[in-house]
Order: sequence, then C-alpha cells, then structure tokens
Amino acid sequence: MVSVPLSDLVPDYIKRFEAYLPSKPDAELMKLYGCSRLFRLNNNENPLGPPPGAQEIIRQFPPMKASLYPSGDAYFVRNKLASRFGLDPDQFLFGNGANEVIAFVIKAFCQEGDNIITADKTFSVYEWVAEFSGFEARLVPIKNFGFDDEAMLKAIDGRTKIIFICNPNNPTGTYWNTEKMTGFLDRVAGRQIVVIDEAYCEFVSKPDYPNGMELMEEYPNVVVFRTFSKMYGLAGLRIGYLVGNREVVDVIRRTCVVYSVNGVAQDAVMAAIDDDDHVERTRELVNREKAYLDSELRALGLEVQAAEGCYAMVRLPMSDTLAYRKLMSRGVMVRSMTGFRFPNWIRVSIGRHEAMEAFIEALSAILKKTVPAAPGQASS
Amino acid sequence: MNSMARKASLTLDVSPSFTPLVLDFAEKGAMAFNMADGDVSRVRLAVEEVFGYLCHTAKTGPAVTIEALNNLYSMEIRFTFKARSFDPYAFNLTAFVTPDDGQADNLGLLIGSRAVDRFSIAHSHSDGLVLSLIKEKSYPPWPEDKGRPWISLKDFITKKPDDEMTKRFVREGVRHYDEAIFPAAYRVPARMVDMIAQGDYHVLVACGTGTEGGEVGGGIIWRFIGEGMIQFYGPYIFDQRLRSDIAGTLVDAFLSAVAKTDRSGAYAYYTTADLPAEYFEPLGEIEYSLGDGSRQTRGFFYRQLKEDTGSHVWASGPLEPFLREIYDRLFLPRQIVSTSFEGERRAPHSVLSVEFNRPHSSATIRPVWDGEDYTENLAGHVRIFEEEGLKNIFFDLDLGVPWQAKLIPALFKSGFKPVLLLPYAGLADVVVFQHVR
Repeated sequence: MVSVPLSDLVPDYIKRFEAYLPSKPDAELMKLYGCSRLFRLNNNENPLGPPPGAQEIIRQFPPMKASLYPSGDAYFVRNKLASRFGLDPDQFLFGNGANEVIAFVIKAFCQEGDNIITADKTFSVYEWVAEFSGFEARLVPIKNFGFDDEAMLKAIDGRTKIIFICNPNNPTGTYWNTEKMTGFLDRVAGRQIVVIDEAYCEFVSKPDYPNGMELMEEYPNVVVFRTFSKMYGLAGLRIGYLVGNREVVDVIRRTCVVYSVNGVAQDAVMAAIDDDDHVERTRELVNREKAYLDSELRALGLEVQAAEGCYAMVRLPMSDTLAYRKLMSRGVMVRSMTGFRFPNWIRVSIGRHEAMEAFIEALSAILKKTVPAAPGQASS
Repeated sequence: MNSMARKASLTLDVSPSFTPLVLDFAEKGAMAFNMADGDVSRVRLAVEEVFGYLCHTAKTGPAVTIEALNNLYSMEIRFTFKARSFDPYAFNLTAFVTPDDGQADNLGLLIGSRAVDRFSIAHSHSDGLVLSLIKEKSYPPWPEDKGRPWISLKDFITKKPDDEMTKRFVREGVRHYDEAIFPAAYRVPARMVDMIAQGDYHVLVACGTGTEGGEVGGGIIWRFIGEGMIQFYGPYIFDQRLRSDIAGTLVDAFLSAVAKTDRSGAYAYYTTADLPAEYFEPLGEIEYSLGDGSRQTRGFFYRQLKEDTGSHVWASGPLEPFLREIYDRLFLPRQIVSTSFEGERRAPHSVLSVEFNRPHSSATIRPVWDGEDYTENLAGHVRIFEEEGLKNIFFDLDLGVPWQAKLIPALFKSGFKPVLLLPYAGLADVVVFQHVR
C-alpha cells in the first residue's frame, strides 16, 4: 500500500491546528453517563423551539421537494430581510449557519501574513477559521468580562484586515453600547473590516445597545453577522447570514459557497422572520429563568456572570470538566469553560423552569459532595 | 554556549566496516554540539555499543539512519531502521541474557544505555524501530543570588519570561524548594533557558509591576508528554503575602494557555502545598525509592481540559476492580470491555520497549508485541533493572489496545500492581503499574 507523505502535503498551520471534536450524540452520552434523561443546557438553544409558523412549515415540507436544489443564494429570504430592515437584498449573504459566513469574510480579505483581531475569551470560531486558514489570530485579553477597545486598537498593525467583535459577547454576555461602538469605529476609521457578531442581539433589550445594521450607513467597513439558530430556534437547520455595505458584500460574495443553505431552512426562516410574538415569549422566558438561576446560584455562594444573551456563567469551586462529568451523570449537560480559557467556569444555557431546577438540584448535590481540600490537596 | 548546529544525519548499511565512520560521526557531532569532553567520550561509547549490537543482530543488508540532534540542553543520537531487517526479539534488553545465570553473550544495548542519561526503544508504524540515546549537557556552576529569603510584591502580573527572568525564577526556585519539589533537572538556570528555547518546556512567571518588574514572585513549568497529556510542575511561590493569589493566577493562566491545544488533560508531576485544590482531581499516589534508600510518596493531581465524551477500555479480570473504583471516583464515563487469552495462537516472542531515566533511578516498560514468552521476558527485564540498581520499575499499559489488556494477569503474577490511571494518556486511558517485589 502506498503511504501518503502527509508531512510534505500538510501546511504547517494545519499541522499545528487542533481539530474540534463535537460532543457525541445525546443517546450515546446518556448511555455512557448512565442517565435516563438529559437536559441540554450547553448550546444556547431556544427552549421554545422554532416559532409556530416555522414548525408548521417543517411539518408540512413536501418530501418530493427534497430532491430539488434550494435557491442557491436564499433569494426569497434575502428579499424578505431586506424589506424588514430597509436594506438592499444584495447586501445579504447566507451561509450554512453563521459559522460559514465567518469563513467567507476571512477568505475574502486575508492573505499570507495578514492577521485578524478578536478577544481571547469569546466565540472561538473566528480564531479557528483564521488559524486553520494560515492567518494569525491576535487575541486581546478581555477586561472586566468585556472586549477591551483600547487594547484592540493597540493590537492593530498594517497587516490587520478584520476585527471581530461579539456583541453581546458569548460567553460573558457583556456588550459595547452605541457610544463605545461608534467611538471604536471612529478610531478604526475604515481601515479594517469590523465584524459585529450579533448572534444574540434579539435577546438584548437595553436602549443603548447598538444595532449594527444601522451603523453600516455611516461605517461602510462594518459587517454584521446574525443567525436563526438562537432566538429563532432553527439551530438544527443551520442558517445564518451576514449583511454589509454593498461593495464590501460584493467582495465577500466571491468566496461565498452557494447552495449551502437547504430548502427546509429557507422555508422555515420565511415563516419565522416576522414572528415578533415568538421573540417576546422567548425573551420573557429567558429573563424570568435567568433571574431565577442568578438568585439560586448566588444563594449557593457562587460567582455569577449573567448579563445579556440566553446564558449565564458560573464560577465553581471545582474543575469545570469534573463538574461537567458529575452533572452529566445527573442528566444535565452544560458547557465547561476551560476551552474558552475560563478554567473552573461553566456556561449554562437558559432553559425551561424544569431544566433550571434540575440543574440547580444537580449542582447543589455535587457541591455538597465536594470534599473541602487542605491546601495543596485536590478536592474530589 | 549553545552552538547553532542542530542536526546531522548519516545513512549507511549496518556493517562492521562502517564502525569507524559511525564513531567519528558521533564524536564529531558531540563536539560540534559543545558537549563536554567526558560527555563526548560517553556518547562515543554508547554509539559504539549500539552500532556493534546492530551489526551483530542484523540480517543481511539493512540500512540504518543515525541522527545526531542538538537539543540545546542535551544531545540525542537516534538510530532508525526497519524492523523487518532484524529479528524484533533482538530489541528486548533480555535478548542475549541467559535466564539461568544472567550472563550475556552481548549486552550492547545495556552497556550503551549505561553511558547516557536516557535510553529508549520505540516502535513506530511509520518509522520502524527508533532507538534513542540522550546525554544531558553539562553546564558551568552558576552564582547564587544573595537576596532576601522571601519576595514581597505590591502587585503582580503573569507572563512568559524572557531569558533573564527565567534564570531569576530558577534561582528563586532553588532557594525556596528542595529537589523533592523543585527537581534536579530544573535547578540550573541556563539549562532551563535552553529547555524553553528548545520548545520542550514552557514557563509562566508571576512578576512584579513598575519598579518591581524584575522581581519574580512565582512560576509554573509544564511540558507536553505523549500524545494527549501535559505534565506540570508547581506552582512555585516565593511571595508569602500574595502566595494564594499568585498560585491561583498562575494555575489559571497556565490552564488558559493550554486550553486550546490538542491535549486532553494536565497532571501535576511535582507540586507544592500551594496547588489550588479547586482546580484539580486526585488521581492517586506513587511511592518512589530514592537513591539514598529513603522513600518519597508523590500525589498526582489531574484535570481534564476538554469535556469527556466517554470511551471504552479493554481490561481483564484482576484489573477491573481498580478501574471501577477509579472510574466511579472520577466520574469517568467508560465501558470496560473484558478480554483474555482463550487459546488463540500467539507469536513465539514478545517485545518490550524500555525507557531508562537514570537520574530518577527508574525504568518504564511498555509492551510492543505480544508473544508466548511474555511472562519470562518481563521477568528478565525486571531482573536486569534490579541488577542495574534501578529502584523504580514501572509498566505502562494502554487500555485502548486490546491485546495489551490480555497481559494484565501476567503483570499481577510478576509482582506489578496498578498505582495510577492517566486518562487518555494513550489510545485510551493508561494504567501505570509499579513493581512491588
């Protein structure tokens, strides 16, 4: 058998890159951890699911339509969004989840020797895509759980092409208000593309929260990311988009993979976009349960970072990866945060009250069983 | 003091007529890498023994590649050759030792191993057999700081140290900790600088700010081992007032630094009383015999860096209670799949690889191939190590490899007992056995 000369074929930046391994399917995890039910509080999914109209579309999707290619550029969805936001349909590009549009932007603007800037403790995919594409990801330490604007500006050099701002930030929930955002954009002065990732924007109701789409007119270097995976409960169908200045988007379109959004997703989104009632009901649930969670966690004496978004972070007096295993054995799946560079923190997605209670009950039990350790001796 | 020459290699047939060439290569390589005179001789001796052994055991016409590698703080001579050119059995240390009286017809590998600090035989599917000899470099004596016993910082930050800060960290480490905590290999400042420059070790220090920017209040050391683990040392703390703050911040910074690597876990190899308990899980303890006859018990603390998605492990009878206790205690989701020999055909000869660490008076055995003579071969290895005066004999067993699991009963019968489980340290978890009689 011929051996593949991988060391010659594989670029160094790929050799250095660590592949992301997603979780096993729920059924496998339940078997391994010996639990009979599982509350998924790890991926910030909407506990209400998709809006009712979208659910009906999914239910009624004609099987024969599965044999047809979908619209290659989400034609109707772009038109509908353009109408809703008062923009041009050609300002929108769709991807198989917002993750894919991150790759579109990086491929469109970066070449060998270029860099991107983002925070060290934020959504990891900006960093991953840059690194496995051979570009440097400059990670600026966050400050008080938020993006550090001054430090990010200092990190810019002549090879910086894109700055990614997660607003509100996943996982800390902090956000830049309009004043901070515009101040930052003024100082960038159009020299770099500034991506404002608004994956969780629909969960924010603060009056000083900036709308990236409104900033694009004054700042044509702004590109906004949004997704239907969070508020609209369509994570399983994988559909997200970017929106920007027409000329900028025309450049990004060159790296855009068409036909990557399936037909069910496009149809479901058409039914979901205008369902403001769904947004309101989700916000109510998230606000109510986040308040409950915050109160219960603080009663346990734990440090909580719960700001915007449908998630909260908790600092534990034990290893987060150990807590993950112990919680899994009690049927609760959270996100351990070592991978976000937050050792001993977990992130909990806001779910229905039953799930929140199950989480609090399981966490209380494992904390009670954690043996206080003498200095230098680890807890068990 | 470091030479820029980093690598030389030689590929030739395994033939005694090339012995002078090989010896010249080893000697001149060692000199080019600035090895001390005595060390040059030891490298030459080791290479002479190993090459002679290869000539003695080779079938006709095999080629060997000999590489001399300047690892800045050590020199490695690496022999790489295709296993099919040799009887694999020859690469057991016991190959030419008569079991009855321990006498040897040819002890080339053993003699070679004695002349260097570390020695290993590994088998890789892609490269073939890799036989490695490592000789540590000598460093000149270094001046000790005559500073105050404890540092007292107003504030601190953590960062990767430059060379001078690294040396300062080592001097403080030596002043505050004995070798049982701050190990001998790390107690030479310039050597630590070279270890970091080589990329084998990583250090973070907590240093002062402003006018105290040159002061080091603590540090932590780590290195990557095997395919999936990180071994760390510390946190070492030199500031009494801020000690718990510094320890927590150092561990947090260390974990953040390694969080996105391909490693699944990190464990403390040498630790201190300042290790923040809440970050770690106790794996177990190993009792080591020291050169002076005393014993030292070291605890191993661990944490996973990734969410454990579970796996299956292979095991057989006597190990299962140990595994179940550990898996229950650590909440590790594992399916234990039992296996055993049921009369299936086995190769006549087993092969065991070894790794000597003479400064630690230890040897670690790893199974390479199974064979009918496995039990005798293992006993022969233990006997050789004991004759060599090695006080700590370990056996690493990879639970991701089914045939290795079948060796477990013989391990117990040969006086080994399981002392530690390292999650995901191999294809699956690795159990460390220790020879206890």
